[in-house]
Amino acid sequence: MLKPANVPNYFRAVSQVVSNQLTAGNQAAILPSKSIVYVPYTGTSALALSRALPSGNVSVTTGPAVSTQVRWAHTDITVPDFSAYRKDSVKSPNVRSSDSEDSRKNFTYLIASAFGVGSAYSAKAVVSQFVSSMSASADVLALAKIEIKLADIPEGKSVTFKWRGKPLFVRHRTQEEIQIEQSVPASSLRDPQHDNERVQRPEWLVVLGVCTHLGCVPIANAGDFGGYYCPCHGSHYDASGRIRKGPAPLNLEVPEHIFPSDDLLIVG
Amino acid sequence: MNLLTGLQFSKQFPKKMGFQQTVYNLVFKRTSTMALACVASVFFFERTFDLGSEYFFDKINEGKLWKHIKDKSQ
Repeated sequence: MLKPANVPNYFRAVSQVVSNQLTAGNQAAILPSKSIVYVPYTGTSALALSRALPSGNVSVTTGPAVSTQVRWAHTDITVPDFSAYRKDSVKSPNVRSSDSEDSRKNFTYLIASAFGVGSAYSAKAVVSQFVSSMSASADVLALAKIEIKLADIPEGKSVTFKWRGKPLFVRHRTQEEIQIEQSVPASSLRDPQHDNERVQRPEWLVVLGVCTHLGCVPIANAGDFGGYYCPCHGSHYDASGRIRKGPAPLNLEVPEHIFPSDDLLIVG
Repeated sequence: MNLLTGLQFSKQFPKKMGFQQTVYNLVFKRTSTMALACVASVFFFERTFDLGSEYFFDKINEGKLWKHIKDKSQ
């Protein structure tokens, strides 16, 4: 029990006086010492507070010769045992740690690599998810192609379909038209293309119904060349969809198309 | 050139080059080879992990998926 009355016992300093084996000389005279009475400054006045503060150059001395450390000699505390946290290969004091250095490094780097592999896998999954969201969805892909039954188009007729939001002309050409278009020299054209470059089968012409001038829809079987005629600014296309007269700079565009059978055309 | 430094070093100080040391010198010593090893192992890991997770998903949802009831409903 620590009582206030007992406290001074714990703070009692023990001093040891060692005799220096010298005899003090007799004093010739005893001077009366002035008794100085220090009156502590009390109160909370500005003067009292300022006097209570240390004045002048305040310095704290520390260094090798001046010990500021208090070290209690506790010899009964054992050094903690960290062997539970240490690797087995470095526990023995008789084994060189450099012998197991590579295996310890390998373990650490293997763990780091495993995290690397995991993050690369996750990153790839995230990226491919976002990239695949940009690809065309099933409904868009369903509209990307059009199947046309060729038997429904009589000879000499041009039929318009809607394909990818644009008009598509499929023209069943007569033998006469084929002969005329085949015999046109490509050098005489504004956008030189022979008829064979534009059709896969001579009797079927597949072109986009968009005038290359300003994007109007040409009228089939009209114009000076018997093919298409754009009413907006008077561009004349022939039966191969090539520009022959008027402001349009290019031939009508031929989309990718295949004939899987004699009776079927697939555009797209 | 630098890749051989470890090998040359071990030639200077002949010591039995164990499996761990070989792996360390060839793969983990340099960051570039370690990253390369990571990328290479991702290919195999992805294949294994995806197939394995698909397998477990099918196993857990046995009889609930369309491919399991497809034959019965047709």
